Amino acid sequence: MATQVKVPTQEAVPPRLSMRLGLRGWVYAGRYPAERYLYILHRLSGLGLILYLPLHVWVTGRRLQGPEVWQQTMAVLSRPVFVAGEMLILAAFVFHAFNGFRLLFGHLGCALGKPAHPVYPYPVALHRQRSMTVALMVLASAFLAFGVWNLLTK
Amino acid sequence: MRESRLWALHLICGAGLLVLLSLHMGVMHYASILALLGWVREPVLSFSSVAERGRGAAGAVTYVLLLGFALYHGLYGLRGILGEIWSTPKAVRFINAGVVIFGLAVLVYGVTVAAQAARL
Ligand code: HEM
Repeated sequence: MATQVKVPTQEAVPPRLSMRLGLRGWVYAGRYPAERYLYILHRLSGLGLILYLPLHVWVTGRRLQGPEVWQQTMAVLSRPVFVAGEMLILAAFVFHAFNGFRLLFGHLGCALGKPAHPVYPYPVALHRQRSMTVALMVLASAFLAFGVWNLLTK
Repeated sequence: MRESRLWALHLICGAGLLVLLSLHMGVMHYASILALLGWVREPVLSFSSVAERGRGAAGAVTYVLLLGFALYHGLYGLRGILGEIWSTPKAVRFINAGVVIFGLAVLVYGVTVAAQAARL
């Protein structure tokens, strides 16, 4: 007698594995590779930078009101809470720039390896790129560490 | 414009930012190295240094380009993220209109500041 194969319907799939995961799916939907976490960080850093941009344009526009207003503004920005914010922005920029470089490189088809026959174990472009990814993240950490040191000793 | 073109522009602006924003952040946050090479004058945030960088057509054009790249690249990215969360046709229209109006408003303000700062 033929065995009956049960095909799961969309409703039967546990919610965390369903097609529409919502915001939770950004963080976890099963075995995400390291690059998927870089993608989440890329998104968060991009969001942080775009939210900061209008504020930055407004603050730097205060230079038009002359040296006194500018010095007052800089005095406010040297308070610890703003310095901490500046470090976050620096971290967002450094990470986004290095990871963005990796993405641009990939979009241009670089460092992905030559197309190959799908023979098991399948070649994965991300794995071929791993050493470059690790090198870029090490460089980003070094730049960030130096930037933070520069901020704290200024 | 077709979505693929808008996306290509997002990437082109990303590449532009890699150059201009790295320069900008280099001057602001890595000044101690650049000062060793004699490329910047410290303190970089004094009024005279700030005024000097924005002075003249070259300073103004560089700042406006940087702002234009950042606004397009950033708001296109934001539009994509918001569109993933709210994807009904009405929400998409609202998000599109929102990013265009907001982007143009910040751009106009930024251009006005850069034009006046060029004469400081
Ligand atoms: C340092 C230079 C930068 C580079 C090289 C860069 C590169 C990139 C790349 C390659 C992407 C992904 C595009 C894709 O694969 O479709 C991206 C996404 C994004 N970027 Fe940037 N970017 C830079 C600066 C910025 C700045 C200054 C902002 C904010 C004003 C920003 C905001 C965003 C946002 C919001 C996204 C969308 C993220 C998402 O959809 O998950 N980026 N960037």
